[in-house]
Amino acid sequence: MWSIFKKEINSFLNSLIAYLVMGVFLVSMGLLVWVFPDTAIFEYGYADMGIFFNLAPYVLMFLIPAITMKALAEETKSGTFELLMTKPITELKLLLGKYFAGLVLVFISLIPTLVYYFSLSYLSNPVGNIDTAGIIGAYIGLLFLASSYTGIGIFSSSLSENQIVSFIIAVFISFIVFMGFSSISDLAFVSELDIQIDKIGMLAHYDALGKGVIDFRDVLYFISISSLFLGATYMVLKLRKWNS
Amino acid sequence: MEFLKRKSTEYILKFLILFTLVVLVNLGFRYQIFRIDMTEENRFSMNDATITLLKNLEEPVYVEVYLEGDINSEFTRLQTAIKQTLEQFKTYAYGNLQYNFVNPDQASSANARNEFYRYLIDKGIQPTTVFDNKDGKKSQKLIFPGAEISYGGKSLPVILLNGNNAAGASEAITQSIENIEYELANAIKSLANVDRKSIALYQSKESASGSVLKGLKDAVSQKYDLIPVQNTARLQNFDAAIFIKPTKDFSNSELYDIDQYIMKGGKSLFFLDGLMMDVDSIKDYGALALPVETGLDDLLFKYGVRVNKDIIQDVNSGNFPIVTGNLGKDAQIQLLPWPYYIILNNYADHPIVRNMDAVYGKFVSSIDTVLAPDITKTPLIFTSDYTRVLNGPIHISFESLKEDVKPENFNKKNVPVTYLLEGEFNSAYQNRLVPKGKDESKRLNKSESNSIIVASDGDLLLSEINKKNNQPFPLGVDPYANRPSNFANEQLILNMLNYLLDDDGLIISRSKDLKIRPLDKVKAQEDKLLMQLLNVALPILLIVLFGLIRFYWRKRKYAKFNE
Repeated sequence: MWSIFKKEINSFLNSLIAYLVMGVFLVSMGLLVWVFPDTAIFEYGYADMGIFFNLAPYVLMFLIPAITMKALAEETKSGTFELLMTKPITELKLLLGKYFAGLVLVFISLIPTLVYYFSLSYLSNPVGNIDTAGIIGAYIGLLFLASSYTGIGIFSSSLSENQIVSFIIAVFISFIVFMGFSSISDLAFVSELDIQIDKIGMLAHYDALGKGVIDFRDVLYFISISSLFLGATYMVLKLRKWNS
Repeated sequence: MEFLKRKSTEYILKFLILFTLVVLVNLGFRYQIFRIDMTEENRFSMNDATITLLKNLEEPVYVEVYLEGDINSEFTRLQTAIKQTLEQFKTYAYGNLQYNFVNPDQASSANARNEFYRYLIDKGIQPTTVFDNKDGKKSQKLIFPGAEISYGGKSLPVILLNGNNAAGASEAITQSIENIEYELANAIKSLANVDRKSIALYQSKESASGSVLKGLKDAVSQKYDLIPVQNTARLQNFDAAIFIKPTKDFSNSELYDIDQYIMKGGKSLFFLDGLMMDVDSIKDYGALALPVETGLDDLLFKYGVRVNKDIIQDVNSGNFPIVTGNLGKDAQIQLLPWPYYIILNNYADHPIVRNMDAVYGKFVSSIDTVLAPDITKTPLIFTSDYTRVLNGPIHISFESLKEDVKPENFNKKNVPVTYLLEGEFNSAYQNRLVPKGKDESKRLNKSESNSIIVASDGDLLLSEINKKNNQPFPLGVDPYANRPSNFANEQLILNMLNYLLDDDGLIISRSKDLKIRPLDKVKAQEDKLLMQLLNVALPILLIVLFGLIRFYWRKRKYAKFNE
């Protein structure tokens, strides 16, 4: 697992695509949080990173699939998957290695956004009047969300040998799981069940986490989503092995 | 049954088991609330009393918030905070709470909209005018910063904008945000509360006529049963007693009843005047404010405070209309500052008065404390920094209005006018003979832990009367005031009663302290471009730098490898 993990991170960071993906993510975030007048912090007027944590899930929805799309799809395509399977490594270790590598890459992409924090701290009145602990909490929340997205990304990557297809599937599933359920719960005909349906989606669970409140149930939920998708990936890998 | 033996079936089954397990675990911990609020002021945590209240709801609560639509950024902050609070309420109420935000402007026609406005105002949700300056265009609009809460077929309006206006709009919004939890929880509690506490309203026949008390009655009876009482022996049946501007001299036996009521744990609120003055009795030549002798002074002295026989003038005062001259046949009426009508907005940091808007006092006296062991005396309300204390008897006339208020005469500051007394009170009848007809063996010499509030203004809880139709205004309305909102006299008495009577500590949520973290406006304007550039470009530069370092590091590593 460790060798897979290292190999995965290295191969990603050695490709130019990686820097392009991270660059696009950081430009989008930067524009949304600082430049676009509808969302920019200057309009809001308070030293609060809420805007960042509210928008990040939508941008990560594209970033993470782009990071993970390669993970299994490429192995399948280039035939190295079979090769790997002949090595003394189990499917579980393989996908866990890829999963954690993806998570670390997301983490690396998020680090530069700390610039926002320092800028806000500088702009706040008085200087440094910013809720540091709350922001750390919100970052932790964002990482939990990212871990679920990564799980979804790895799963999608196992479904197809085409990276683009994997990417699209991952974005789609992430979108449905993040927003779909709360949108359904808003529909009039489910008003009886709306809370329960809402709770299936990630949005309802991210709500508190993104503000810096670490609720055990929300954490459990995100870990559950990750493990479900990793479980599903495991199943897909096994099925493929026995069907081929 | 062949498919059962297949390997693929095994893995599908394994996944289904995992799925079921995960769902079960999540369901199992559904009600396990364990959370860490990382925010500095624990912004997203609620008071235990609120949580208990919400957990124990038996029927669904519906909350309709009317703050929605095109509102400015200050009010958006309030709106967001209301949403967040209600979202948390929902968490703790396990589905027994639903809320939605209604835009009062959304109507098919202007007529229907005005109809809806009227409907809201009739419900008791007063609008606020908001001036917005966006892109150089000034606009003005009505918004309704309030909500309606329904529970079990009853409903209550809740005003969610209630900070101290003197502190500025932004600060008032912050204070309102701090109070959201209390306001909402308190309304839910009054609706859900089955065993309503009963309060005796003591008024002597000669004093306050019925109509000036209407505002008080309307306000208090939403949550408590307020019953007028004249016979002090009946006080024993009540949870609290409010004494408003008593003028009569209580008999020894009546005083004994009051004393023993307090000894037995009855909560008491005294609104007393040191000097008696009624503005309607001021004629052309003025009137004399004379000391009121009620006999209550002896009791209060024993409990630890003394309402002085004086009247306070304050620079922070309201206005009063006065005839300043004649223009032809018509009298010329002008509003002049009337330093006897004091605007009090200088509060202690105590849940009762924190974040409250100003209250309006008329002919207020000062209060001194006297030695009383085991009693904690907390001053709640103070006068402003420019106060003058006049000892009685005083001649008060409208003539004095015309003289300019001379600041150098106002050399006292922050005179306390309301005290909260808490502790074990000593009876005023300790070591004394009990009045005739009372049973000495039943006398209590010391109370259990109890609390008393003494305010040195009998008019605090009285409504102004509309001279045009003789109807009373709601409590806290000054007919001559030029203020955006009513004075908080109503909120004051409700907070006091909540503090004294609610043992579950809901009012503690009023001591929430939020910090505002504004951007430095000047800096934000000056450095805007730089900041935008920095925040868009620097993260990318960091990533590129990271890539380059990696690249060269690897090159070196492999170069070495080749050697």
